[in-house]
Amino acid sequence: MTRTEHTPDVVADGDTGASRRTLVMDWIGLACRLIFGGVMLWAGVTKAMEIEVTQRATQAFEILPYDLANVWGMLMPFVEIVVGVFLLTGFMTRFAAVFGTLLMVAFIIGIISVWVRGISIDCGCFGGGGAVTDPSYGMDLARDVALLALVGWLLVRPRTALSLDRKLFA
Amino acid sequence: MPRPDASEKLAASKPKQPSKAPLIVAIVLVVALIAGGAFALFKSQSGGWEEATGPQNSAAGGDGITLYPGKAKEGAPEVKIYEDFQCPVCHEMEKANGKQILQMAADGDIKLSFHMMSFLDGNLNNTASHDAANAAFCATDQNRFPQYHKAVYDNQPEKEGDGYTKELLKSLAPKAGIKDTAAFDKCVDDDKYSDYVEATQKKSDKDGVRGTPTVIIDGKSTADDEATFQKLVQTPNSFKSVLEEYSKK
Repeated sequence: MTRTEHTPDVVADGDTGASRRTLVMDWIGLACRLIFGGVMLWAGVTKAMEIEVTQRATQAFEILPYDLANVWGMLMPFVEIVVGVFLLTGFMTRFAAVFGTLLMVAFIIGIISVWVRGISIDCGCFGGGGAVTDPSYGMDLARDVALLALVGWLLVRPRTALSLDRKLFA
Repeated sequence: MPRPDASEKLAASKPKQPSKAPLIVAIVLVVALIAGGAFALFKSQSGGWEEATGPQNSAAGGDGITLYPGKAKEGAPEVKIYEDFQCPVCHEMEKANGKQILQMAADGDIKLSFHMMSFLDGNLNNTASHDAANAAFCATDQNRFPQYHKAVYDNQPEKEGDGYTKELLKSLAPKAGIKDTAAFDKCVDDDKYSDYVEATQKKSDKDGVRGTPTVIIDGKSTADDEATFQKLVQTPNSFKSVLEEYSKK
């Protein structure tokens, strides 16, 4: 018996709407990767270039004890760099996004913690004369929440346009 | 009619074996992170800086220079002053209360120590705080810390960040009454107390000192109270009343 009809492999019109939306979301994902990844890489590199200052900044939060604060200060910049590079290239996107999310949550908790305790994270001496200048905790929080949203997107939807993941594993 | 050979199509449509590569990368990274953390923790435990030795009358591990040792009367309050030579606010405090503080120490009314920090080098991108602290420690070997300390502040640059050159630091020796200028110059040029300067900063970090100037009286920090801090920095000869307030607590 022969088949008299050839059934097309792809159902046409019903799919077009869905695949356009998919495409848009892939590109939103790409934007998230580039912005968040770029910020992570830049932040990680600048912190890694002055580890002692990073360690001192971590101590100033008064969350971790001295020795652990030093360990965090030494390691965290490198985690940022790896997360940054992975997300910029779209390699192991969800895995990198997990670490990116954990980092952002840690930073947000840290800022809220010093804010409610009234600790001033200005590791310096203040030209005007005053032990406590008004740190911009609100702005820092807003910035970190926005970054959390970007990496949160990638956590939920790691599929993005122009990614190494797609090339290697799709 | 015989069925067409679909073995190729079958092979092509077989589900791909999931690549093991991501898992391996993930494991390697996590192991590297844990190893790095363990290494960092181990390194911080065996901190050699706690044994760093400084000039005469200095506590090991960067724990301060004691002024007028042995002079303090029984039960005199313990006063620890943390400063950074590039800090303009420290300069203000020296102008307002430097003389009174030193006098009280000379009279034995307080047990006084200075902790010269150098974190501002990081903020200002120079080595002036380190160099000035080292020079002050060199002056301590000739018993001229109080005088040299004042001389440095008297020559603090107008613009924060201009710092102090080694030439300038050496030129302050006569102003501080330093007799053996050859030894002093060598000490400055060789950065003799470099380890002790670093240790002083680390000990200050560990002591929880986040900014300068910080004056700690019998364990209580005046930096915690804005009004007290301002008073010490701006009101001349206010140290005595602050001392009375704090040593009662």
